Amino acid sequence: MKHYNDEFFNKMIDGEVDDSTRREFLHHISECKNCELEYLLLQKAHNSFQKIQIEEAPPTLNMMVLKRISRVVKPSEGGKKFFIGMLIGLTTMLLILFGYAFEVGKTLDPKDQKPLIDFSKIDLSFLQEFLNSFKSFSAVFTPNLVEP
Amino acid sequence: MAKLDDLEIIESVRRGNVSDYSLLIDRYKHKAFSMIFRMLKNRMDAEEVLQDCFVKAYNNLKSFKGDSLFSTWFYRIVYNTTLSRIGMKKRQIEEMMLSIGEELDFEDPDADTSGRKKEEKELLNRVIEKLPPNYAAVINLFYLEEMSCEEISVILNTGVPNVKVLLHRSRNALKKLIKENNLEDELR
Repeated sequence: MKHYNDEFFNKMIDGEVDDSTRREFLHHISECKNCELEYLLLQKAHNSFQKIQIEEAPPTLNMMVLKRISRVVKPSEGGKKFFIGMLIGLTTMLLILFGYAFEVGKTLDPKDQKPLIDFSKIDLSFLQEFLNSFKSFSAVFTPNLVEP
Repeated sequence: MAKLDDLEIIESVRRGNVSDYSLLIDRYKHKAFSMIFRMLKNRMDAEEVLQDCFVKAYNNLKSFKGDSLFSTWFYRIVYNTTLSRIGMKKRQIEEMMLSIGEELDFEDPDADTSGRKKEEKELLNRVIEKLPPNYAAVINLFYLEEMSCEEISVILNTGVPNVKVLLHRSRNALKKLIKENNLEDELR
């Protein structure tokens, strides 16, 4: 007589046995008390595991997780703001530089090989005005140091 | 209000409703805690790891594409985070671990001498307390989460036959304890 083992009983419990094998097994255990007992014992173990209890998570869990999440969110938002600030600053600087280069570029004559910036063509009169105003301003406070 | 599914909650959290993440926590916290606690055998450590798992899942929510179920994705985080914690205390738990090649065998020191029949529940707890981490993970996912062996194999990053081996050995170990405690009388 062919007997069955735990490997087969496990397959029976998991529903991995085809119909004809199943019928053959059921017929067998109706006659073989030992196989029947071993199968019922494993079935009992399976049923016991189905009654496995849920362990309760701590009641403060949600609060603790949300607190940690908000702590994580803040630095990244700060980093984002810093990055955007840096980007705006860099873009402004580049625009000023390009604007200056564009203005200077207008004064260039491509036919003659002159230096990139021809200072003789740049109107620097505003610098002269600034220096004059500075002279008159400092004369108020330090009259002895200013040339007559 | 209609019950939101996992994906709807995730979308809401992604839109900036961080407090909605509480809904996901409520949905998974007890079962995830059960699995972590049974893998670690220590309540305090399990509580810490559970928190870490939910924070990790939140931080990686952007990488969840919805290709798999959220539960599968989340339990992968739970399993791997718990294994990492075990790794940190590997020396302490080394003795508890059994290799895949060994059968589970939980001796019951007073099975014959106590004269008292142990209840089925008591035996179940004895087995669960002593289950090595990977066995405990399989038992929890199979019986509590009612996952298939295929889903569990994805979470454990192993083959389906390995999952079945762990499941069957756990059953066989409990069966042996039931037999040793003469509980088979109740079957007849």
